[in-house]
Parts: sequence; structure tokens; C-alpha cells
Amino acid sequence: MLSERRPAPAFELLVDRYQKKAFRLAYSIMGDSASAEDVTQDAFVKMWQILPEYDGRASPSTLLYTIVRNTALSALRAATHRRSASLDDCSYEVPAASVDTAAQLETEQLVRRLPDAEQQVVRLFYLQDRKVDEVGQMLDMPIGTVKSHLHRARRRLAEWMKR
Amino acid sequence: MNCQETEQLILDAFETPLSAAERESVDEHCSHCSACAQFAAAQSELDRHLRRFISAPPLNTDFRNLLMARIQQRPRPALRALSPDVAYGIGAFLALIVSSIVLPFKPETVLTLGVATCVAAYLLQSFIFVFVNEPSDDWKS
Repeated sequence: MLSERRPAPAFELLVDRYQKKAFRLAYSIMGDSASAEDVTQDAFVKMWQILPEYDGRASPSTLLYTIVRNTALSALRAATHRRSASLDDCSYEVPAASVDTAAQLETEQLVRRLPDAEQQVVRLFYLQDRKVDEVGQMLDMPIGTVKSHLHRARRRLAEWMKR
Repeated sequence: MNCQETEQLILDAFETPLSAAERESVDEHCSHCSACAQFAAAQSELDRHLRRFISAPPLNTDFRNLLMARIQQRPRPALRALSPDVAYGIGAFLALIVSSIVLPFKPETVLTLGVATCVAAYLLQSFIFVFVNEPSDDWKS
């Protein structure tokens, strides 16, 4: 009975509340929806398995984001090892039937030229409705670091867009 | 306010709204500094692009069902899940044996009272864990 202190309904609430955010975090790291979904599934399964040991010191969302980040980075490393990777292999998805496809591709290519940390911050900032504190929590970064990544990325992107 | 400070405020404005005084300072500086005015225009254009084009695809509508199916197929490791109960049982058993040898009472009396106390303590802890000490349930709100 002691070991069953995390009831299943609480886990289902966790899934309902955080599945989209966890998916966006995975997507910002993985770059394609299928891999991001696999990573999110794996992360929730890991979360479920460690819940009996959860002591409540960190919030469940912090723990979940840590698991998602680590799972995504491991998956990314494994994928990089498997492929003789070219940059095209890890290109971000672009919706096919968009009238703005060319502009979107161009923006995507510019974002992809940024260093990894800046890419993740920029993507999550816009995926998370421009909330710096949430981006910091999801990437486990101080807000000041998130802002400095954002500012550096903005300066670079604006410079590249001019050319 | 110099150009460096102005650029910093222009960048800050995309994350948190500027105060009226800050906004006024930026406007005033940009009105006579074409470099900063161009910087502000370029950043606004960039922000419009990024807002428009950075979006995550929707999560598969079956995601939750697939996840719950996976979880049902893969239960928690039994030994790890039961470890608090096993540790409690071993501790209680050892304490009872030592107590029945050391305490100056009949061993049957010590064992009977000891078992009753252990069961009561176990039930009390379980009650506390389940109903009182539920840790950090911020996802329930």
C-alpha cells in the first residue's frame, strides 16, 4: 500500500495537462513530429515507472521536462550515430500545402543555422506563446540565459535576413 | 540613452512590455538615430516571421490511448515498487526478534504487542501517504 502512493488517476491528470507541452519540447529538440511523439511516449512511460520513487521535492512538470530533454537528446545522439548524417537528415518539417512555403522554408533554414541552444530557445519561445519563464523551466535554464540566447539569435537572424 | 541601451530595450520588448518611460526613450532615440530605427524595424519584421512560421504540428489524437496501452503492457518494476513495503517488513521483523530477546517480558507478549504495533503503524503511514502527505500535486489544480 505504501508503494502505491501515486495513484493512476494522478498520472492520467499529468498526461492530460502536460502532453502538449512535453511534445513541443521534444519537437523543439528532435525537429520532426514522429520522433518527437516517440520521445514523448517514452518519457511518459519512464515517468510512470519512476513515480513510486518520486519524493515531491521537484514539481512533476520539472521532472517530466528533464526526462523529455534527456530522452530526446539520447534519441538524437542515437539517430546521429545510425545515419551517416547530413544536415538534410534532420531537417524540420514544413507543411506541404502552405501558400507561404517558400518564406517558411527560408525562415526554417535561417533558424537551422543557429547554434543548437539558440535554435531550441527560439523555437520553444514561439511554440510556448512567448513565455520566457516557461522556456527556462522546460530547458532547465535561468531566465537570464534564455534571454541572452534569444537576443543573440535575434541579432544573427536579423543580420542574415538582410542579406 | 545610447545605441547599445536602446538596442537592448528593443530586444527586451519582444519578451516583456516596456514601461511608458522606456518606450518613450526608445522612440525619442530612434527619431534621431537611423541605425537604431532600422534595427527596430528589422527586429519587428523578424518577430512577425518567426511568429508566423514557427509552429509545432498537432499531437496525434490517439496519443493518450497509445500511451495508456503501452503503460498497461509495461507495469512498474515489481521489486522497485514494493521496496518500501519490503524494507518496512524486514525492519519490523528484526525489531520484534531483538525485542523479544532483550525486553524483560514473556516473548509471546512482546511478539503479540509488537505485531499489533507494526500493523497499526503500517496502516497509519499508508493513511498519511494516501490522504495527507500527497506530494506536490500541482497538476491536479
